[in-house]
This record gives sequence, C-alpha cells and structure tokens, in this order.
Amino acid sequence: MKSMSMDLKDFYKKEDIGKMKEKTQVEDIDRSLYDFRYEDKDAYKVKEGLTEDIILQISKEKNDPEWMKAFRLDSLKKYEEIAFPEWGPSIEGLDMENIVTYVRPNTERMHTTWEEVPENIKDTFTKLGIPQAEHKSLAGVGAQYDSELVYHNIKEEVAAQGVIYTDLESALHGEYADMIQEHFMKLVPPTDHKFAALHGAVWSGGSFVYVPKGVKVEIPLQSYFRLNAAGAGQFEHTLIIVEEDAYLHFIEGCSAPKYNVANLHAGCVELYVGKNATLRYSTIENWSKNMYNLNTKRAKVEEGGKIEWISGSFGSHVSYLYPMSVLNGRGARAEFSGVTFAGKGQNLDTGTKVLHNAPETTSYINTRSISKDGGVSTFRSSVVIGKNAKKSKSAVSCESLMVDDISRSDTIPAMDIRTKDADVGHEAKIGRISDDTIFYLMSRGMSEEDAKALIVSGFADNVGKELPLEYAVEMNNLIRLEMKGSIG
Amino acid sequence: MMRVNQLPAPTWNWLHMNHAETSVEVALTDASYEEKGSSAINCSNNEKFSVTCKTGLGEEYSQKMENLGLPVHSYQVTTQMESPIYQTFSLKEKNHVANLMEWQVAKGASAVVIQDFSEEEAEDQVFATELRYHLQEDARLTVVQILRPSEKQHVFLNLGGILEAKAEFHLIQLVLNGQEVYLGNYTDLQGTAAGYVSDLGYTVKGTSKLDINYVANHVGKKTTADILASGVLRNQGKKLFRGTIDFHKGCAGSKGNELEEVLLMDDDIVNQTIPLILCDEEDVEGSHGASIGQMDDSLALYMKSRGLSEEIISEMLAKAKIDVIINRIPDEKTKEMVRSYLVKHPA
Repeated sequence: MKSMSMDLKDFYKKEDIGKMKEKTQVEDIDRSLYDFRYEDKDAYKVKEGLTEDIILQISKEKNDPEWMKAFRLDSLKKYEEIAFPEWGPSIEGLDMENIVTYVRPNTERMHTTWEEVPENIKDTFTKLGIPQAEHKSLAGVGAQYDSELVYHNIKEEVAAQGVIYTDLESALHGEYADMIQEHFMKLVPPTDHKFAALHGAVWSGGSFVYVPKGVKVEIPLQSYFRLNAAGAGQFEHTLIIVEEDAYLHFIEGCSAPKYNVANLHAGCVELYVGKNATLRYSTIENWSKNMYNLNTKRAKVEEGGKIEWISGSFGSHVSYLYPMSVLNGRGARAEFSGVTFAGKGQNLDTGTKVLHNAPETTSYINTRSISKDGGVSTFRSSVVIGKNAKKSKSAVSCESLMVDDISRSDTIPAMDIRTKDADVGHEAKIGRISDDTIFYLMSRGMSEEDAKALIVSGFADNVGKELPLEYAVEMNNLIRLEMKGSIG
Repeated sequence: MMRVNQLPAPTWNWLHMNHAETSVEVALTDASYEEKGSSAINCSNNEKFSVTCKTGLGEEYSQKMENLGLPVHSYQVTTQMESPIYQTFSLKEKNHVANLMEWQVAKGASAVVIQDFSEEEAEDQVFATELRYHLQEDARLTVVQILRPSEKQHVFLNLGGILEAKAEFHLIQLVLNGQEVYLGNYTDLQGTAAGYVSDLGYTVKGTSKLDINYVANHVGKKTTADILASGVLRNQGKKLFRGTIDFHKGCAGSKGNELEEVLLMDDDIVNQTIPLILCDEEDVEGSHGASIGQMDDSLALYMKSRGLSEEIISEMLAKAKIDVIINRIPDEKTKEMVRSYLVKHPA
C-alpha cells in the first residue's frame, strides 16, 4: 500500500515553498512597521489642557463659521458638566491637563498628490502602505497626520459619478456648508457622553463623504489616521451620507508610535444611510498601547437600508468603543462583525448597540474576543426593541477565548424588548483553546506557538473574511504579532 | 430608597438595569408559618444569623433585615431527610411581615424544603424574607419557593449561601403573581466540585413587576452552575432578569450555564435581560443563551390546522413555560397544588 505521507516538494517548486513558509521567528516580523516616529516638526500647536482660550485658538486656526465657534464653546461647557463614566475600564491615567488637543503638521495645506506632501509625512504613509493601496485598489484616500488632513484625493471616474469625498473643513466652508450644519453632531450630540462633548469642543480634521442617489461606489474609499506627536489627541470627525439606493464601502485605519505618555483619540463617526442604501464601514484599529481610545460611532438607517460594521480592535491601552445602529425605517438592517484582541497592558471594552425603532428591522451581531498576556477584554452590548418595532428580529452571538490564565474576559450583553411581536436570540460562550486541537496541529509539525496563532486567526475569521484581502492580511499579521512572543 | 439587586459589573446607566431602587418603609413583624416534616431537625430561634454570606438582593437589604430585631429561625440538618419539610406562610392576620431563616446542612446530610407563600386576598402588604444556607461537604439542600401573592403585595425573596466541597444547592422558585416582586440569590461555590442549580418559573401580568438577580460565584475548582429561567409576560407586566456567572481565578475546571426563555403575550410588556459572564480563569466553560418572543409562527399554524383557536394555543404555550419548572419540583403533592392553582389563575 502506498504511503500516505506527503512532501511539499512533490507538489511545488523549491522557490515557491520558500515563499509559502510561514514566518516563525519573531525577528522575521517587522514590528517597526507601526512603531516609528518623526521628530515633532509641527508648524503650530496649542498648549496642553482644556480652556476656553484654547478652544477659541482652535476655532480661529480653523477659520470656523460663527455657528461652529459657538458650538465648540457650548460643547466645552457640557464637557465640564458631564461626569466621567464609572462603569467601564479606569481612565485614571488620562489627564486632560497634559493633552495637546491641536497639532498642525508642518505643511501649508492639504495636498491632492503625494509628491506635494512633505517628505517625512509622505514617508510615514508610504511605510504604512497607503499610497500603494490607493494606486492598487482604492477609489479615494484621505490621510490625516496629527490634527490635520495632509492628503485627500478621489479617482476622477468616481468623482464624475457625483461622489463627494473631501475633508470636512473644506466642506464646512464651501457649497456643502448647509448640509454639514444640518447633520454635524446631530446623531451623536455633545450631550451623549463626556467625550462626545470633548469632541464637539476640539474636533479637527476628518472627512465628508456624499454618495448621490443610485450611485454604487464599487471600490472602497479609505481614511487613515496617524498620530505622531507625543501627548497629543486626535479628534477627527467623519460624516458620511449615502443617499437612496446607493452603495459605499468605507475603510478606516489608524496607528501611532508608542510613547511613555498618554495619547488620546476621541473621534466621532456619523453615518446616514438612506432608503434601500448600503454602507459597509470597516475599521482596523491599531493604536499604540499608550492610547486612550474613546471613540463614538453611530449610524442611522432608513427604510430598507443596511449598515455593515466590520471592526477589528487590536491597539490602545484602554478602549471604549461601541458602534451604534439606529434602525429608523421599516426593514432597516444592521450587521456587526467584530474581533477584539486584548494583550499585555490593554483593557479593551468594546461591543455594539442597536436600537430597533421601526417595524421589520433586523440586526445580527457576531463578535469574537481574545485575551492574552494579562489583557482584559470586555464585550458590552445592548439590543433595544421599541414598541413600534413590530416583527423585528435580532440575533447576537459572542465568543470569548482566553489564551492563558493571567488574562480576563467579561461579557455584558443587555436586551430590552417592548413589544410581543419581536424575536430575539442571544448566545455567548467563553473558554480556552482546546488542548486536543493544539496537540493535533503539533502532530502535523507545527510548534505550539504557531498552532495557537493559527487557531486564533481562525477564531477571528468572522471579521477577516469580510475585509478586502490586503486588510485581512494586515489583521492576521497583527494577530500573529500578538501571539508569537512578547513584543512592545 | 434602598438599592437592591445590584449587577456585579455595571453597564450603561441609560439602560436602567444596574440595580433596582425600592423602599420598605413599614414596620415588619415576624411572619407565622405552619410546618410539617421537621420533627427530626434541630430548630432554634436565634438573635442573629450564624451564616455570614453575600445575598442576591444585596448588603443594604440584608442589613435592614438584620436590624429588624426579629428572630432568625435556624435549622440544622444532620441526616438525610427522606421526606420534604413543608412550610406554609399565612399572611392573613398581620399586615407587613418578614421572615429570617437559615439552613445549615452537615456533611453528607440532605433536605428538601418546600415553602408556600400564599395570600390571595391581601391588600397592599409587604412580605420580606431572607434565607441563608451553609452546606458542608457532600451536603444537599433543595429549596422550593411557591409564591402566590395577591396582585397588591410587595414581596422580597432574598437568599444567599456557601457551598463546601461536593455540596449541592438546588433552588426552585415559582412566581405566579404579586404587584412588585424582588428575587435574589447569591451562591458562593467555595468548595471543589460544589454545584448550584436554579430553576425559575414566572408569570407577570397586569401592571406587575418582577426584578431578579442571581449570582453564581465560582471560587473552588470544578464547580458547576446551571441557571434556567422560563416565564410569561402579559398585559403591562415588566420583568428584569439579571444572571451572573462569575469565574474567579483558581476555579479551574468549572462550568457555568444560563438559559432564559420568555414568552411575550401582549404589546405593552417590558422584557429586560442582562446575563453576565465574568471570567478571570482560563480553564473554564461558560455559556448563556436567551430566547425571547411570541409563539412560533409555524408551531401556531400547525396547531390551528388541528382545530385549536389562537387563544387556546397561547394558553397552552404559557402553561408549558411554567410546566417546565413545575416538573422539577421533587414532590408530587406540591406539583398538583401548583397545577390546580394555575387552572384557576392561568399563567
């Protein structure tokens, strides 16, 4: 009987086998990809802290219209009135007195070609692969460096369809000014919570996207946020309006070099999804592990519309992140696929919220979380089905994986249902990697480390399979970085 | 106001699920009750609880109970009791009453206690209880609580206890009425292989409110917990179920499971559910599931095709939700009593 054992060289050329070999050594993986920095050659920055004077300086720097200046000052008042949350991870290490809320990089204006972007900034984004991705596979890119957008471009053929993709501040002053004023911080008002109020006071940068009725943007748009300055905050605002019957996939990425002082990210994303429209919003979050990530994202979905959240959270020291979907029209739908990886020194409190506010709405939530090396991962969710949300359905599935005995994982899902005519199902599981599975993979020649990395990558597949290939590869690289040795 | 039923790990305040606020601003006297089957058990009235433990309703409530100055009815079980002990609480003659009780079950001993709280005619009455338990190694205690108050009664059923190695505690509760009912249990699974099972059946109707907090605190290795809640909401009934499986470091090999099934019968109900799993230990298995909604369309269609009206189908399904729990009562007489009650007062 012929032996059943197989050798790769029986099937592949020698050079191809070399390419296929998985990197198993820590030094093979280029950690410097994210953790590099440039000396702060900023043109201008405000003092640390949060005062009315600082808000007025930012407003003057931005040449705000009067209504926005007043909005900022009112938001500052609300920030001072609202208490810190007491239900989540500690943010004791965040002292606003030490945070610089506005840093303008050393570039005169926003550019539309990479050649015009200052060398160090261009180099940063080149290392991160942004210009290359734009060339290969994106319809448009916005790149933010500290508090300002330094690059923004959209492919001609996409712009010809009537799609607007511009920085929010240009939109605020130009022909879309009324549209911005009508929508800005209406979905996430400053009263929502303390860091929404902070955002309202000091926001800077971010993008405005408008997709007209019936237009399908087949290739994704992307914004990338890079925070270079130590002790600084980034407060970009993303506003997307997708009109009736339109389609858009928007991708955001973020990273920062690691410092010994705290950085803060309190961005805000507001998404308006029109009747029968679809918006897919993908994020791979890889902030450095000194970052306090207190981000707010919310989508309002009209009749027959659909919001798809794809969310990978790998970075930050502390995260509070709960993208919310408000299903406001009959038949509106929300899907949320998320993976959170909490490693050493991280306390990541993530999840999602859905409000069913109309009949026949549906929501599907599928999340995975992983805790390792003392990391703390908390899945927090709410599904609220209102009285008028007849014939609505919701299904929630959350799975948590503990990789070792020094980490922690909590699940805190809540359901509030106010009509009999609704169907809600929920399931959650928590456990560890099966010894049998590791043993099987090791019997196939893998090291224990490689086996665990492979299993965790597979565990996170709910998000990986929804991302474009390049981003799925990046996500899997991040998982392997975390799994394969103590780094950073 | 008094804070009760605090979630071990709070969440967003706007959900209003972190705890309940209520008050007991009335003078409470000792509730009287008839008892059968306890002749072989040592029972005494003490000034204070001997068992020190956390309880489901929480510290503020327990402190209030202890400060009442009422006797603690203390039972020591030292053998394996063959028959259940029946306790029937009569609430007719007095206004607001309370009962403090503790059960200490010795190594290898076992008992089944069936408590019936019934007062169909009472007006605007407060009935507050606290039952603590301490089970030594390999001990077993089953507590069955049948709550059949009037629509105007405010009831607090609070439990808490400690389980040593291989001890098993089984709590079966049926809540079949009441204006405002607060249930709480905190089981501290201290010993290796200790086990806790909780079965709750309920029907909430009219303008009634049911507020629940169960906590399984896994400390010992290989401890197990199974929490099942099955119930029906009607009219403007409101129910909030909090169930927590809490795995502490060191409880390797432990398993915890929660399941809630709720049948929603009317449009003005409020159903709130928050099942937590808190995990500080790698080598555990935890799961929870919830299924909430009205009767299944395909099942309804099938039954209508057999000639049953929608009303009858609804009543059958509601009864079935409670029957699941009734079937777990380890006493035929009690099962029959509850079923007869439900014939007169449908779930």
